[in-house]
Amino acid sequence: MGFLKRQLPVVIAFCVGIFMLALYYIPSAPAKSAGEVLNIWIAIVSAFAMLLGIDSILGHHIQKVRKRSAGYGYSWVLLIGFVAMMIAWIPWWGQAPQSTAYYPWGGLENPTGTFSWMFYNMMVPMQATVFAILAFYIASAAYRSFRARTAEATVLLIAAAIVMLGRVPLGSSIGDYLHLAHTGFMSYFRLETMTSWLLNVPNAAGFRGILLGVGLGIIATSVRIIFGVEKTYMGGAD
Amino acid sequence: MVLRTWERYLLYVLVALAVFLPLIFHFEIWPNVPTNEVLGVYNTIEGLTPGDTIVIAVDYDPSSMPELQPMLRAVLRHAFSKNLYVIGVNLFGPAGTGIGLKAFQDLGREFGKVDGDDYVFLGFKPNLIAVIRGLNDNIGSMYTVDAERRPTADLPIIQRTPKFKGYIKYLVDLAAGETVRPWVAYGSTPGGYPMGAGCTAVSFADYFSFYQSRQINGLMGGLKAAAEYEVLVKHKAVASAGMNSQSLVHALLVLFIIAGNIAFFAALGRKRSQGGGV
Repeated sequence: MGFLKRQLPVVIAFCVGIFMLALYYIPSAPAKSAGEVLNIWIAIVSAFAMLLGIDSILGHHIQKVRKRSAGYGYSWVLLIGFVAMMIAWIPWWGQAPQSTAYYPWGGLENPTGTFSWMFYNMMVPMQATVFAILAFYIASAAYRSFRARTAEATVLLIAAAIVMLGRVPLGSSIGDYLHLAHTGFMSYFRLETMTSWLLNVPNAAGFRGILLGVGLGIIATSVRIIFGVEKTYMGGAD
Repeated sequence: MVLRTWERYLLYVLVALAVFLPLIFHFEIWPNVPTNEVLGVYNTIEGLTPGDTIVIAVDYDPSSMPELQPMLRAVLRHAFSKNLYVIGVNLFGPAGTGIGLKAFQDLGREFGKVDGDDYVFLGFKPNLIAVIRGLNDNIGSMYTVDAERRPTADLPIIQRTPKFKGYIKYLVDLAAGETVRPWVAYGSTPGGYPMGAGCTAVSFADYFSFYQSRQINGLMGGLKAAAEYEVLVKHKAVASAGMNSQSLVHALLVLFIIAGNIAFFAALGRKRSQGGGV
């Protein structure tokens, strides 16, 4: 059992990792088709990760309901919503004009079905609403926390104000009201020009650094996994 | 700084009014001039010839839909009006399939396009890196059926475009999450096709390094970019309608910051005059 749990995953990770790496440097048809097959395998394995996610979230909320933990009513909402959407999606196989599958209740193939109705009229507006509430939190945070306490914070604050105004039509119009030309030296004082500079120069430079760091981190982690140094993906138990 | 209850209510009421009033009482006093970043996407699609195929990646879910769906509809409107073939995919999350499919079908019907021939929405697949690489080589191997569960092998658009590499002329990734980088690294660059991107306003700044290096030739950020695209395709819709609200809310936020700082420094001054610390 020890070999199956500890050594075999490392051997598989090493072989597959080296093989995938080698495929990049072998421009032949067999290598290409092997890469295609592996891509399909990866997609299939990834689909199982979604099952694990479902198991995890359901298990967590069932436990909350059983123990009547704080806020367990919300867990009921999640469980009922999950079951309702699943039942609405149950496929009913049969003849359909253009499809091999037909879903009288559910499936996006049936725009008048229960599943489509629940998706477009419940799930979509609820998710969009939650995201929209951010505007109120941002307003509150802008008033409470955005302080010019230090020189750096002041620079950040001024840059944020410029970008916020430069990214809306009102900002461009302020330049017009002040009769700032769209070209030439005075155009540099227009909010949209300053916004564009802030995003394209200091912001892009910062993010490029972050991206390079992320890239190097991915390479380092991949090498550690391939050579069996990094084993946390096997789980922390035993 | 802790907000008093009446302050919180006042802030929320002002934001709500700034959002709702311009939507109820529409006015057009601030023109929305298209930026170079949005023109990058528009000009590329404008430069394609009828019969070319483009891909639109609907990589978002309902939470980002208010910003990205108008963008998708504007880009689709442009593509269909140019008689381009459009392939849609969703590699972000399962919920994106429904909203992508609806936009494709709505716009397809409006322009009299045939589903499966002029356009197709392939739906969701997990693990975007593997799927992107697979799509470059063979669409059918990654998607045996489309989002409507029709075999892709039977669809004329897939028969004409069996893979991305060498066949598609442009890719637009409408991203709510971290999908632009994989599309650049594993799709556009090895596939040899140009790429543009659209994203929510909060993640707009993240992608400028790709735009600056020309790895993406256009970048649409948030509802404003969608409104700019609506101006370009001469069909003002929901994004344009939201621009006045967004302008007022942004101005309001700047005022909140100023007011918050005035209150902060006034309190600081009072403390110092009383001999207290910061």
